Amino acid sequence: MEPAILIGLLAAMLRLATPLLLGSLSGIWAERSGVVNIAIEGMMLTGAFAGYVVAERLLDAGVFDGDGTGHLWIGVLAAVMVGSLLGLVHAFWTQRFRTDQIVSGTALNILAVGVTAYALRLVYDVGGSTKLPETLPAILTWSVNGKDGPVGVSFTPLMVLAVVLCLLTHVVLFRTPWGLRTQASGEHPLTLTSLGLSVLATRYVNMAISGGLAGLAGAFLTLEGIGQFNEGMTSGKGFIALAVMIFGRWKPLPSLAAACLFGLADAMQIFLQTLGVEVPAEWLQMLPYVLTLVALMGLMGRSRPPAALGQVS
Amino acid sequence: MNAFRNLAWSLAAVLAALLTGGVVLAVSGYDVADALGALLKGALGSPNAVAETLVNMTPLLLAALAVALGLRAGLFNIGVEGQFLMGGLGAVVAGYALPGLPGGLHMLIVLAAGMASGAAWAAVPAWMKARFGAHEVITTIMFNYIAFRLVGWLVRVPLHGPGSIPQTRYIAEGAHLPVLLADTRLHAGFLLALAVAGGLWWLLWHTPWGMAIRSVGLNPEAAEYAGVRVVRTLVGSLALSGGLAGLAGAVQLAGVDHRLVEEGFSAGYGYDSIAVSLLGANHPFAIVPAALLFAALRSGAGLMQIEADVSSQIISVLQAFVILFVAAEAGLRRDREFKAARKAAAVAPPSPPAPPQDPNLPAAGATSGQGQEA
Repeated sequence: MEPAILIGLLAAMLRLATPLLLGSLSGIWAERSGVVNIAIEGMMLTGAFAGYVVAERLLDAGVFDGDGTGHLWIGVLAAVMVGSLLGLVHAFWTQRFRTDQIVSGTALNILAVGVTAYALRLVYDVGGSTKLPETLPAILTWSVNGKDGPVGVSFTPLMVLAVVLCLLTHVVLFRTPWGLRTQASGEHPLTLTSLGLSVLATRYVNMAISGGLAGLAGAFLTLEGIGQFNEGMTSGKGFIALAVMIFGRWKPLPSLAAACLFGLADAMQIFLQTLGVEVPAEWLQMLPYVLTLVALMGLMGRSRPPAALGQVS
Repeated sequence: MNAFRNLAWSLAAVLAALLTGGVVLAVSGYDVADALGALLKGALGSPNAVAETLVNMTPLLLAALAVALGLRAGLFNIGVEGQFLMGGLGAVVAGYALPGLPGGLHMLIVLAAGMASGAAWAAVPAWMKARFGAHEVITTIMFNYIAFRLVGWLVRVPLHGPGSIPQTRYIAEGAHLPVLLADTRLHAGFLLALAVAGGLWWLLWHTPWGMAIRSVGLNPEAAEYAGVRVVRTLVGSLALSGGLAGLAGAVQLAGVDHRLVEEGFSAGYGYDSIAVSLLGANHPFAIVPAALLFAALRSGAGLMQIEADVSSQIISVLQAFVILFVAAEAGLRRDREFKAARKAAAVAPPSPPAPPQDPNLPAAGATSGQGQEA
């Protein structure tokens, strides 16, 4: 195979794996502390919207000119904050109101779809949005001359940040007191209580982190990806990220590998389409979902969730 | 008495949700009175508006009954949207591929085909749960996305009817559900949906299988101990839940659409039905007024968008608030009852109280914490 094709595939894989990695980290922070977060999808969507709107409005108001990236970074910050806020709402509802965690998560997902579509029409009066002049530029580009000109892999800031956050999650979770506390909260909350530590506080903080990571994944989609927001643009990535987390056995480093695997499946799908393979587009688009199902079936028995997951403290 | 108190609390939760929606509208700079007026006029302002509300209520009620049946067994079927679509697919194929059948019989075959395809589509995730422990919430959502793509392709290519618009052929006239009220779209499916609500109530509370379903939903371990075949009950109830969702799609197709379009057939009925079922405390009779409320909101939202320029998406926001408030109320009540029971147990040790069970929600162990999360 032509090396340029492989490099193109690699580039697509990294681009598609990044939101899945951030989403799976979001799941790890929540579930390791004992909270099922099925609302990653909604937090991602809301983050994508908030990031886009803040960046676009700042640019429109002339606070920043289009040359710099200041507006984009403030957008990223907004996405993280909105995600965290939703994470705290989920924590409040499940811990204070003792709501079933799946029900609360589903409500937040429906809320995210409604709020983003409603606000999109409120702000722009249309179902889609205009493209930002620029997205976050690559830090590093590695390019090779192919048959049809240069082909390259771009390493963009949030992509690199996602890997750094993955390593950081690993270190915090397995090498720090907070990580131990998180694990106790998810495995055996009474241990924490007997030490005089608060299970609730642990879960609130972890849900804020979880939401923030999901919001960051959303910001990646709009501010580093396509530069615009479309209704329902996450199209199940938040749920696939949960499958990535399970595939990675609730651990950050294996989740990184799992995210790459799922990203590769998604990249293959796009690639086969561009190569003009005689398969209907819809069939290829089903691939990531089918892979998720296979992963859920194949690994469920061997991959063990935190013991106190989903239980009311 | 207890049921009435629950109803009062549910109403309070709905009012809180509507109030929050009003605040959202006001903060967005809309004239709330204007918007509300348009909403009411669109939902109930004329005989035709009322008929349209009932037309909207029909698939919503059937789909919500599907969700309720699942939740009674402790299964959260979020795949209703996809099963609804597959039901429409089965119905449309049976509707045009079998010409020359007598009208009434053809109609029944169309509805049965829709129900069977919805059930088949739900049976796969049911099997995945029984065999591999894959949580139905994620698998049924994945099946939604697969159903959208599958039906999209089928309608675009192999089932593409005459003309350039991507849609299937129209079903035979004899397979249409008869119109109940002249000059409106209100069709016999409305009565069928009400009958199904009664049937589900009978199934759940007056048959051995219904007893098995509810006992598995409340406490799978205890049900197993009592001799209920848990896995078989779970698979069966998820398949029947999918069947009801498929029936909802078939009714919508045979009563309103009469052919399947590439996109927008289900129009979110499957997702809305989750809020309806939770609002109706997963009880078939309480779901009827809940479906009426949401159908009225849905048909009013169209006029509200035209007259007051408010995006009809505000309805999704309202629904999310309804779920959040109803579920929070249920959670707090369960907590109160649990604490009261513990206190009573401390005072009078000889008769330990039964563990608190909330009929509104599946037992905690059923949806989560069983070691089969996600």
